[in-house]
This record gives sequence, C-alpha cells and structure tokens, in this order.
Amino acid sequence: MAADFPRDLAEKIEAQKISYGAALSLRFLDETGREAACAFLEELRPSSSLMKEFAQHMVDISKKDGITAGEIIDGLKDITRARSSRKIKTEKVRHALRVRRFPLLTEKENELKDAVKKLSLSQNLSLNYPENMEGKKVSLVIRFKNIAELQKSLDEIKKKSDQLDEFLEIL
Amino acid sequence: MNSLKFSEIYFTPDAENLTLSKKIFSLFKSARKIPVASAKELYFAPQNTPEEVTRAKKALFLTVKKNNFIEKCPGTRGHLCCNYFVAKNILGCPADCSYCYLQAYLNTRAITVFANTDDFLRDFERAASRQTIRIGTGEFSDSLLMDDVVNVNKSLIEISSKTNSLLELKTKSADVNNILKLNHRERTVMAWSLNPPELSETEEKDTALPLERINAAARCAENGYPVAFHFDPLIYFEGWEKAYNEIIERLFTEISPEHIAWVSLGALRYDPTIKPVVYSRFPDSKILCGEFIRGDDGKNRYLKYIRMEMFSKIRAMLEKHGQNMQVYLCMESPEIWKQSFGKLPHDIPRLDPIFKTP
Repeated sequence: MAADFPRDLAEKIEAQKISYGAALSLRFLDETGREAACAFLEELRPSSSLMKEFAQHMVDISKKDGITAGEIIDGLKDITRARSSRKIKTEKVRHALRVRRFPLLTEKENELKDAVKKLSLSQNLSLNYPENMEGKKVSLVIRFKNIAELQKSLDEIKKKSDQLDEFLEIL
Repeated sequence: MNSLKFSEIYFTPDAENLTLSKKIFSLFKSARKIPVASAKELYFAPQNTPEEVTRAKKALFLTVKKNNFIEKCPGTRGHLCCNYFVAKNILGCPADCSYCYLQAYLNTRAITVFANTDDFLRDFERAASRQTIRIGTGEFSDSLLMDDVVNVNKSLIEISSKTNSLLELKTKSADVNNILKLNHRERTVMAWSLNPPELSETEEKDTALPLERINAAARCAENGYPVAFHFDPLIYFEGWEKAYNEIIERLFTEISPEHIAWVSLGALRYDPTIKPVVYSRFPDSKILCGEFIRGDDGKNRYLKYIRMEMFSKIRAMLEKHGQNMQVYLCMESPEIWKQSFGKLPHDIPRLDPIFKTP
C-alpha cells in the first residue's frame, strides 16, 4: 500500500513534476510550504535523488529551525537568481542545504579538509577519513610505478607524521 | 487500571480459554472480542498507515507463544554488547513515546499478550537458573504499565529471588504499590528511563512525570530494591546540559548512589523507517531533526562529537555523586567508549558484572 498524499502533491507526482521520494517528505509540510517547495523544485529540476534529498532537508530544517519552507527558499535566492547554469545552481543549493541541515558535521568536515590541505601531500598520496566520521580509521592510498616512488612516498609520510597526528586528532 | 482502556480484544482460538485471557475479558468487558485465526490477520505497515500505530495502543491481541520467550539481546554489529537477556511476554506498550522504536518495529494492530503465562514463567525460570544473567521485560513493553493486566511481576520477582540472576523491571510508570513489599532478595532491579521534564512532557505521552518516577524509585530503594536508571534516549537540544544536570541533581537528592545498581547512557538512535511514522504521529516533535548520520548498522545516530560530549558530561554529572556506580554506554562502538570514557568497559573492573559474557 502506498503512502497517503494530499491532493496537490498527488497531482504533482502524477504529472511527474515531483518525484515520489521527494513527495514522501514534502507531505509533512503545510499546504503553503508544499506549494513553495514544489515551485522551487520544479524550477530547479534536480535529478530524482537530489529532489528527494532537497525535500528531506527542507522538511527537517523547517522543523529544526521553526521556519517555513518559503523562508528556507528565500535564503537560497542568491544562488537561484545568479547567472549560472542549472547544474551549478543545483550543486550550490545542495551544499547550502546540507550546511544548514548539518552545521556541526560540515564544520568538522571543513576542519578535516583544512588539515589535509595543510599536509600538502604529493599527487601520489591521498588520505580518506571514515564516512560521517564514525570511527577513527583513515585510509592512505599510495600510487607508485616503482619502488623508488614508493620509498619517496613513505619518506614523505614519515616526515609529515606530526601533521598527520593533527589530522587524526580531529577524528 | 483506570488509565488502561482497550476497545478491541483480538484472540486466537488456542488462547481463548486460558486463565489470563479469561481474566482480561472480564477486566475489559466493554471491549469488542474478535476471534482471529492468527497474528497475520492483524499485520500492517506502520510507515504507510501510521494512524494504525495509535489505534494499536487501544487494542489487545491474546495469543500463545510456543517457545523462545527468552532471547539474548542480539546487540549491533561493531558495537559493544552488555549481555542482556530479553524476556518477551508482551509486545507493545500503552505509553506513547515519540521516539519509541516499537512504532516501526511491531506490525500488529494491537498490543500482543502471550496468554500462556505458565510457559513464559517456566522459560524464564530455566534461563535465570541456568546461569547468572541480567534479564528484563522492558525491551518490548513497559515492565509495570501492563502488570495490572498480565500480573506476572510477582511471579518473576519470586523466581528471581531464588536465582543468582538479576531481573530488571524497566518502566516509565510510578505505580510501584504492587511490588513494594515482595520478597525480592535484591535479585530484582527496579529501573526507570529518565529524561528532563521539559522533554518528557512533549515526547513521553501517557507516562509518569520524571519526578514521580524518581519518587517511585526512592520508595523501591527504601524497600531494599536495587534501582537503576536509563538515560536513554539522551536527546540533544538547546539547554540539554542544564536540563540533564537538574534531573540528575534531583535524582541524587532522593536516592543514594549505593542503592543504584547501574546507570546506562544511550544517545537517541533510530531506524530511518521510523521517521515518517514519527512525523505523522508527532508533528510538533523536533527530536529527529538533530545532526544524525547513518551508522554502520543502518541506524541513524547523532554525529559522534555530539554523542561523545553528552556521554562524557553526563557521566561526570553522575560520578560527582559517587565514583563506584556502574555507568555504561548502550550500543556504542569501542572508539566511542575510549573517546568518551577514556577506556573500554573491559578495562573498568566495576563493569565486569555487566560486560563479562555469562
């Protein structure tokens, strides 16, 4: 059995303007909120999965911060009104909604990115932290063509062990 | 009993003439009695019809369970397990907490009562006698709220008093009159879930006020029962630190630490399928809008920095009142133990009775 949708949303799903996944979240907004959110999503036309993600974030932010969907969308108008491609706008909206939905997570991610930047690892090395920062295990990828390259990378890691420690401290 | 009302009582043929069923039929004379062939007739999908979850709290389903009343808590992959055993004689709860996992976990349109009480008690006795375990009835229901209906606590306490195991009766009720004077031999631990009053007021419908729970705990402690507290789910909100500190301070004005068997801490976690049910049933609740990430076990949990902060600060609030209490984390990874408590439970000797595998 499918979920119950208000008529306005059911019509949008039927007309394929709003994805089913997005509607599952949007049904928790009031009618004005749904209208604003649908208009926004219809204009931006993100992929179905992004539409679902944006809808979820809008509903959660609306509840968390006690504001309407319209107010959230207003806060994005610098992005949506800019002269840039739909693809770029979509990426920026995605980032902005995520920062607002997960302020501490994005702050910690930025700290980690800064720490990686500070390490200024050579192109043959890349450092990855656990998804969502659960756990403390990181992975270091070393790309090499020969033993000399491998040795060079290992020397670099050894030399930067203090900065690597700083990176690990954040986790 | 005044507060418990059921409009429908479903029953399977094998349960109809059992003593407990007859008692329940006579307790709720005005309820419609509806025979069903099996539980399957009552199945529903909570995510699609959340209103049925509300209705299910006003109906009983009397049936028979053949075996496996007692199960070891399966724990969660990658998380440390506290070796708890779960006794299942009721599935469902008349209280209505917004965060309750049972809302999406149970899929029967009624609170299920296994009416073959003798079989349940036999299983319980076997499990509690075979080895020294911690075992409780408060995982799939509230241990006290339904006891006027099922009347098993007296027997459970008596059986436990003859074993080395510990029975935990976990509740959000404050009505302890029926159990106060029983001969428990300190083998029953009376336990309460606690949250600050401001949270409880909005998120824990049809339960006793937290201060009433503390008073009930104090009465049990006066009557020799070890008591326990579960700060689970801990909920992160603006002002959480002050609010939790106040309830903890209040707790220790009423109860001395030596009466406390254990205190568990567990941050709010949920299966994502519960979210639409909560949003539908509790439109004003904001608790699922925190910074949750998807854990390895598929459950949503607070970002670890939030969990670590809450665990370490609340532990300090508790240990200010006594250093020897068994304070432990529920369903957390070794990393979080180390980062919040500085140690793994196996390196904290006073937690051996909980974390050493029986």
